[in-house]
Amino acid sequence: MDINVPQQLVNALWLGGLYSLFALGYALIFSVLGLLNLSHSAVFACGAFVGLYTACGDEVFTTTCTELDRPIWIVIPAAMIGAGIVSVAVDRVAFWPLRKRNAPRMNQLISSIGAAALLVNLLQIQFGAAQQRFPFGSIPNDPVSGLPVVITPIQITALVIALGLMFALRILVKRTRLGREMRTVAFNERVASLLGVNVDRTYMTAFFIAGALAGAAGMMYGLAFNSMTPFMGESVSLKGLTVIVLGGLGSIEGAVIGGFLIAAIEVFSVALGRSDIRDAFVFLLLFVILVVRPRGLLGQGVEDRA
Amino acid sequence: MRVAIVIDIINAIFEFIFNVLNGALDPILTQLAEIGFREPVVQFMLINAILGLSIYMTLNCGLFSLANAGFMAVGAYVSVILTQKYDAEFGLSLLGGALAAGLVAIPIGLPVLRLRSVYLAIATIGFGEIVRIVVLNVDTIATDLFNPDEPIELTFGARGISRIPKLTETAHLVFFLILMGYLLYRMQRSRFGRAMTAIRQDEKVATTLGINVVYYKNMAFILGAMIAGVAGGFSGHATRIITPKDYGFDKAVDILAYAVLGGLGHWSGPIIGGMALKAIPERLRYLNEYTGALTGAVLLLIIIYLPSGLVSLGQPSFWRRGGRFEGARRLAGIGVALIVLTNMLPLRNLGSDEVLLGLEYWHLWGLGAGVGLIYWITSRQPASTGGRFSLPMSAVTGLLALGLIIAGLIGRIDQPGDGYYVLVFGLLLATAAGVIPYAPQHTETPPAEQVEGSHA
Repeated sequence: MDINVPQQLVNALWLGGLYSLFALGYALIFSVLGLLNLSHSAVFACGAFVGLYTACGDEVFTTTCTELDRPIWIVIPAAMIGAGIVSVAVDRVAFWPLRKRNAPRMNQLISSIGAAALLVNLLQIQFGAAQQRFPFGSIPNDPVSGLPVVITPIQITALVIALGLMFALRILVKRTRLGREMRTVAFNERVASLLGVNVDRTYMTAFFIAGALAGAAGMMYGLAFNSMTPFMGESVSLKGLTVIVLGGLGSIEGAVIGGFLIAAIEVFSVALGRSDIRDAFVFLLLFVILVVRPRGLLGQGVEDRA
Repeated sequence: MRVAIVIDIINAIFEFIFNVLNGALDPILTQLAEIGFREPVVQFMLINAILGLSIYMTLNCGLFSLANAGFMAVGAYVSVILTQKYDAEFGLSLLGGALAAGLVAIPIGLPVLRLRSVYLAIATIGFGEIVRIVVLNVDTIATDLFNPDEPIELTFGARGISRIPKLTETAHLVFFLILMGYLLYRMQRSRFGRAMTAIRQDEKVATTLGINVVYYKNMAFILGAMIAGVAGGFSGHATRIITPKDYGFDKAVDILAYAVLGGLGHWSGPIIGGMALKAIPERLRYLNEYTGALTGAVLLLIIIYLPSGLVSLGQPSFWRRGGRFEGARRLAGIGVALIVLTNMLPLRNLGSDEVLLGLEYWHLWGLGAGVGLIYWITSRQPASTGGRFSLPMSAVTGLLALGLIIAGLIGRIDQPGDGYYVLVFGLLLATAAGVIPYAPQHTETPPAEQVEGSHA
């Protein structure tokens, strides 16, 4: 069987960029709060719709978008800010009351499911369940000429933005005061508060950043496939989980590598002609990794963290 | 010859039991149908209750497993294939489904149950997805492997199996649930049950007490899988069509929600939670597109206000803890939020004759006002622990609730299209109501209910 390896690699690269970006939010919340935020995929969809609304205006509430009110590039910052705000709101509504009471983590997991259901259904009420799209021709979708592989400008943009955001996040976490505070809170909340870190504000910041990353991923996902539905998060929510497990729960570099790896597995198993069992590969890998090396590829041991 | 006689006797006994049960259930079902829960809905409530029990088995042993949807799929497919292809008796096919699920659970459980908390949850999610994908593709793969000429059709891929005979009866479900409830009740007081509780509370201590942790964990996992398999068999023969996507990630998470919503302190919690999570959306169905949003909101509210689940309403300590009015205040909080939400939301597409639980609008507004007042007054009482919340903020919340109710009475928000904003507003209010009285100012001693890590 011959497959066009460079082309598949390019496909895996930009898709992997989106997966990593999405999974980074999961990983950030997991490392800071130690809990899985299942509403992250709903925030992803919210980001896409905030971007769509910003570019198209009120039109999207009633029909589909026929012409852009604002330039197309505005959608990404808008999606990031909008999704960040939504994410902070989710924290305040679904996590904060439980955190204050030291409720078991499982309750927080369930409340994040409640928040996800609420968000997705609100999107559906507001925008309808049908597919929304940007008008044809408004997105630069013609492949870049002169390259040996087929890649569209929007895919290049997605990859560049994804890499840029990952780099920015790394600097933020490793080099800045805010990042140090986040890592302290992740290590131990009480120690952090004794050291004068405003724990609550750190949580809010973490949620804002995670939401912004999800929003960027959602918007670029929507742009790349030019299709947005309130349920678009479902297709990535489980993949995001797989990515962070593969990379090591709570590890930022792990989430990046895991995202690219999962995308590569997916793209190549489709290219090899077994699209029907591509997810089986992914989950089998997940299963094996968990049994053999639960800390993931780059994760620290559970004992080391404690 | 002898076997035939034994089977006849068993059949006769079951027939007798189901006749008696049917007689007892008939008036109840008629009553339920009158308030909007028709028999199929009741059946799904009962199936949910069984699913809740299946996850309770594992959670009770401290295992945070989300594999139950996968086992449900195994049970559903095996039992449906048994009845449809091999004309097996319903009881036997259910048993077959349960055994198949249990058998699958053995090789899965042995490696996976070493994992803890979130890792176990994710591994079991992975297992569920693998089951789904296998069911989706088993036909094509089997055809490729064994018999390229003639396609093998067992699960029918994404189309699923349709035209399943409808064999599930309410009496069967009730019987099974009573049986399970009795067994669990007995189990909790037995050596077996106490061993599981010990493992949940502290695995290391349990080991030093001579409890074979691996054995008990695997038993809990396998028993949970078998119960889920039976639930799958029942649901397959109730819906009459099964497809792989019915048993995905969403279902796994739903089942967990049954248990947490109902409460894990008591075996009846998951039963109540499972039934409630079917009944709530059904009850809210008249809200059309708002049903999903409101169900999510209700789930959120219950988790926030009733951290130990619905069963905690039945425990005296709930009403006493943190001062005389604590329990009343929490209930009032839920009440206000629900009443505000359910009554303001749907006004744009609701006729004036629509009623909720047999009450008309003005009743509900009156009730809302009453509950709001209770909330306001009780939240002004200083809790016995002293100064746990700030008076002005509670008063503001209470006033907001009252304002909303008065606005509803006057009808200012009855204009079409405003429902959405009211939903958001009501949610904000509910959040405020839930948060403000609960922000403890002293955090030196974590509350006793903190069981981080043990089963979270």
